[in-house]
Amino acid sequence: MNVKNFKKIWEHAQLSPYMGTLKHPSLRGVGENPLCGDTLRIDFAVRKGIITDAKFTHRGCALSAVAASLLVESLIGTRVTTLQKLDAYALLKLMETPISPARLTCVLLALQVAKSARKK
Amino acid sequence: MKKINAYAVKKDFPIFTTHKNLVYLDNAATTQKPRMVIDALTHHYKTANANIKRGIYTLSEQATEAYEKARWKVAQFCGVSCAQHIIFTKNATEAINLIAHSFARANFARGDEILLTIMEHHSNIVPWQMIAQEKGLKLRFVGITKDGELDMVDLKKKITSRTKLFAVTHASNVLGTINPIKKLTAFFHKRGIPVLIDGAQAVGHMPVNIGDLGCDFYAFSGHKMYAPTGIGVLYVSEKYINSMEPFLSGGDMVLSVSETKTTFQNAPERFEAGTPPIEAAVALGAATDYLKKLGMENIRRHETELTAYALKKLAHIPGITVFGPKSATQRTGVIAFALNDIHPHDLASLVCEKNIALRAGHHCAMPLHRFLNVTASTRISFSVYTAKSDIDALYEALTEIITLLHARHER
Repeated sequence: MNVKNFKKIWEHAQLSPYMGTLKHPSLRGVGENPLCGDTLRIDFAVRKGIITDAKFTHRGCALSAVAASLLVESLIGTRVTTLQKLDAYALLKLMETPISPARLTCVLLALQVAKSARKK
Repeated sequence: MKKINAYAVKKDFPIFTTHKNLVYLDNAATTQKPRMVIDALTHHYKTANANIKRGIYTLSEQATEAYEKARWKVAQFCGVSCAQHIIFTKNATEAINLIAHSFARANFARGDEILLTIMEHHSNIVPWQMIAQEKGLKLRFVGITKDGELDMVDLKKKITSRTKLFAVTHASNVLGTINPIKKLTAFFHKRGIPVLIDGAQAVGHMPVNIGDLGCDFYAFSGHKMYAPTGIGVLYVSEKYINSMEPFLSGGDMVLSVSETKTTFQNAPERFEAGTPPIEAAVALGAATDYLKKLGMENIRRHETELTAYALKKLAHIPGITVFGPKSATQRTGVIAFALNDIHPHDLASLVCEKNIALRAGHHCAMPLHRFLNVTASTRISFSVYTAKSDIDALYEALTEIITLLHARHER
């Protein structure tokens, strides 16, 4: 990944409006990347089966933060059942930049965490 | 003393012909292989390939001789007077597992303690955890000082009457810290406690004389010292070698087998069940020849100079935290660092664009990273073919990346 492309990702990771926690989340997913120990948590607010809000907190790389940010953004306004139908290709498409095989786990952490979200 | 010319040494390594601009700074993970080692592998397959030990024909005898000669070379290389004390394993991890199963499992009882350090690689933690769970043992961890050295005050506090083994790395794969093994061994032996050394990051980078260190067990991997993957070494002292139970079992390690009972050979065959990696052992022997030719003192000096140079350069990088001892003489050619706002994985991806190979993550040392209060670090590690220009390339890449990332947007 060249620095110019990365800079967009890096800045997005720092300025994401979806960074943070929800006070009373309906669902919460937590996960860890076993390769590096990075952690991610996603909170979802759900009303009448619709995801109305979502926030994430993470300790990790910019790629995993941006993946979480883009995924969360795409999920707000969708039915909560969408969470179980998420697939890797859709998330990789959202990333809009080629991801090397070694970095796939960074991106896919968001998917794993969103899918694992359970009632709080 | 002879100065090592890294540019001349690079010519011994075909990978640098294939990848002309490669800046390889991941030697703590595995080293590249010199032509001499690659040739030893292919020569063995072309001229002496047969299974060893029981073949009643010339080729098998030649293969057996080559395999045993490799054992003898390894013993000579690391100061072991009797080659029968050298056991070939798959790698250092398997060597430590062998001791956990054949020594600790057989001799330790509920409540006994194993003393480790917080700077250990997972391979010198997890095998003990598994045995501890099975046998009801307790693991204790010695901490480190703020400079990344073993905390001797803490070490003395952690020894109890139940301490049955001290297992420690010779050199940390993250901090680069070289532990005072000879002193530590004498200290623990005075208290009747055997000592195991994980030498994966030491052998091949500094002179190691196991006989002089006096430890009971010493483990290392071939692939981190220019040999192929799939071959590792375990040294076991006279005191324990023939009283330990076998680890793996099957062919080649037995004296006789009946339907109900098996008697075992003595070491090293006792611990080498099944067909071993013959060609990898032969190539490991060739790797020791190569290292001897360069001279271990010369290699140590070369890597110390590189470390001092890199530490000085890295100190100019804004927002950097370098882990481990400040002095190059107290560490191997391994430097792990963290940047304020660029994650190690992101950094590794960015420098990859410039043909720089380094490592990012926890380096199989999660307890140490937690101790350092980071989830991951970026690690560079040197070798005989590392030149100052490789460090310059990294420095320039880091400077450029940091400058571009922090530059204001063009309007």
